[in-house]
Amino acid sequence: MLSLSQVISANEQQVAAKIMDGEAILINLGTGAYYSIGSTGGFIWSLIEKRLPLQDIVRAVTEHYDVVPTQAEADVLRIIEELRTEGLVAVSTSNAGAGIAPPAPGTRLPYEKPAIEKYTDMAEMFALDPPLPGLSTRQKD
Amino acid sequence: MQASISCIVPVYNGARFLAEALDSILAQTLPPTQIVVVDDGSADATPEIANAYTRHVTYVRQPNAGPASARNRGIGLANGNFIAFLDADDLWQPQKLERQMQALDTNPAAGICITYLQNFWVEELAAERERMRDHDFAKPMPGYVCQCLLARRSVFDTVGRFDEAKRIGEDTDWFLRADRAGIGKEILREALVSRRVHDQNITYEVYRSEKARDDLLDNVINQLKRRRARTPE
Repeated sequence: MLSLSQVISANEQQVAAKIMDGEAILINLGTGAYYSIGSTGGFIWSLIEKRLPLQDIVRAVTEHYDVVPTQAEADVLRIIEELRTEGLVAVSTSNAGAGIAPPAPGTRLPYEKPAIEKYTDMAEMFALDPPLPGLSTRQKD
Repeated sequence: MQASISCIVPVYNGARFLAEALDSILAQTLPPTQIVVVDDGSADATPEIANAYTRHVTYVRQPNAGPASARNRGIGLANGNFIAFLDADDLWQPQKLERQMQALDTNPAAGICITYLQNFWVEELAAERERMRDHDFAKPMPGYVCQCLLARRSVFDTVGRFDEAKRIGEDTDWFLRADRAGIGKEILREALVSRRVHDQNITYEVYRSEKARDDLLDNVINQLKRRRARTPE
């Protein structure tokens, strides 16, 4: 169970990620699965890459999008939990990054519930390479 | 038309394993008619080892430009109407080419044939081998990599050569392009290629180099675009 003070970071050794037009594209190098997380998810991923406590991520989502805090918190917790299950993020209790500046005042963007789409159609091609010694050896699906 | 097979062996600082790789080619029950070793600017004893095989091997050397470039150079020199590849650190099982030629003979509509591959670990990585004992990587898997490929030469005219801008994943990119071009394929479920896992495998770069990760992400992004074009939201 995640708590809001925990620090979330990308599982850098195992994930290749790119944000394109606001959407995050992720590859789990260990399993060969790849993922798309839409625009809100892309924003959340950009915060994960900054190594922030969960509560800062929730706050930033609330400030950035037109969403009530309870909804933002529930959605962020759910998506981080899904990302953790897929081996894409790490959760710790320390080593938070530098934090983020509050957004400039202005209109909040329309909120789109963050969701993960998972694809395994290229897993046979991507999972051909043995994991680096020491990496998680979780089996692919 | 008489079948002739060119085998291309790209090598970069591969002195340690090159002789074993070449021996596994020469031990084929259906040997290739031409073996081209493309030395991609090695700084080790690769030239000496290749020269010990001059009776069987055409050796060319180029300034280091990456495996895609070395393979393309080999394709340019190939005179066979079929083309195969073997990396200098891997091995073919003796029936590899014979079984693939049978498969392509039986199915003239198929342009390429791939085999399964079996990973094996160098002795220094024995602990890693133990750790991975029950993992999928220790089991035979479909070989969407060059060392498992036998292609009709004409396929390269349709699909093109390897993308030299890619540091890694150039074979994945090529297989995806072949798929898009509608090239038929045969898959042999026998592990006829043994891939050696050692700490210098170029594929490990994906864990270390941003360029390699970007190349891999490009492959995924292209695939995602294709998927979305097929199934409009």
